[in-house]
Amino acid sequence: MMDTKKVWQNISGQEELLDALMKEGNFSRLHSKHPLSKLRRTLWISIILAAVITLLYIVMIFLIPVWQVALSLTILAFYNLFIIKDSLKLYRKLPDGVIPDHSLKEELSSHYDGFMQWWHLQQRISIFIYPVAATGGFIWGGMMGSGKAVEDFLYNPVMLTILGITLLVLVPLSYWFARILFQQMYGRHLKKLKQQIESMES
Amino acid sequence: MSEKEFLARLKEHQGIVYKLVHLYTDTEEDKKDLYQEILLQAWKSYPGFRGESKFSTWLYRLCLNTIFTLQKKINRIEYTDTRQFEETLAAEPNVNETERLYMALRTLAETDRAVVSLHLDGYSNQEIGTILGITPNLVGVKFHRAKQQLASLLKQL
Repeated sequence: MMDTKKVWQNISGQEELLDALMKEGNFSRLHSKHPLSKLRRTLWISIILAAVITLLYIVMIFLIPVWQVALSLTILAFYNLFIIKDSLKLYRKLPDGVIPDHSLKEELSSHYDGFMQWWHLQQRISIFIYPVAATGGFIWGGMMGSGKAVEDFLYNPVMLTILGITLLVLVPLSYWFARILFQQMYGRHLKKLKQQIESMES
Repeated sequence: MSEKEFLARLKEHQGIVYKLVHLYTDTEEDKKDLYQEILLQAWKSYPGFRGESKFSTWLYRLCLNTIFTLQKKINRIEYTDTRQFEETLAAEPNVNETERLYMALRTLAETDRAVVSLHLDGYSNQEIGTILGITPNLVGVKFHRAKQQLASLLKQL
């Protein structure tokens, strides 16, 4: 029977592929494919986008002379600011890659928690921002299309019913859509992480 | 800290990187992806290395943390039963001892592979427990279980 310890310890690690990568000047050219680094980049882009959209809302508040729409935009702008604040907090908290001082279990748990916190943020966006923004668009588009004032447009029972139905449909729909997207992007990875955390205890 | 100094330390312990990557992947593309990610993470984290543990232990942790948290895109060799091992060996009777050991290790669950590789590199249950974040008792249980499985495979060699 082979001496496993001896065989294992005699493995030198010399390999063309690895040797080729371990060259001076090569490290700064490498790009991370680590999921947390990718998530941080996505988060940073969404923070910038949210800031731009909030600025647009503020400009629109002063340009649109309909107080109901201006009020909706003000609420959205404030909500966006809260989301930006929480996103920045999460961005600072998420490590940009692995932490070698962590034990493997700590690393897996913090990795999993980072993704879940991001998901909770997405949930808040999907439940509130997307439907309210879409409803605002519905009112604005309806007013423009019909050429009526907002009161005349909305006080029509048919339009109010449509708006109610739109909201009732949009809230669960946007939540469901966000959930599907999240599952598609990270579902398998998170399932695997959870299995690994559990398998460490068994 | 210069790149030269970092490279010299890394080269001294490149066996750790090589052995762990080979333990969890087998295609050239996946190996390359993992090597690149490990080297990048090591390069980024090295300024934070305070020398509180040995460089080899630090590198071991970094490799395991990277391998286990990297996206599922890396095709890890999933747990397979011992029958598959016998069939593969029968098909390739001329593989060397190192390759046979790898084949046997790859039949273990992913976390058990980490326990065994750390053991084979001379770490104690206490140290393995700290690296993995589990109790030394659990390390002992996992190692005992893995050893039995490996023994039943390797005794045929």
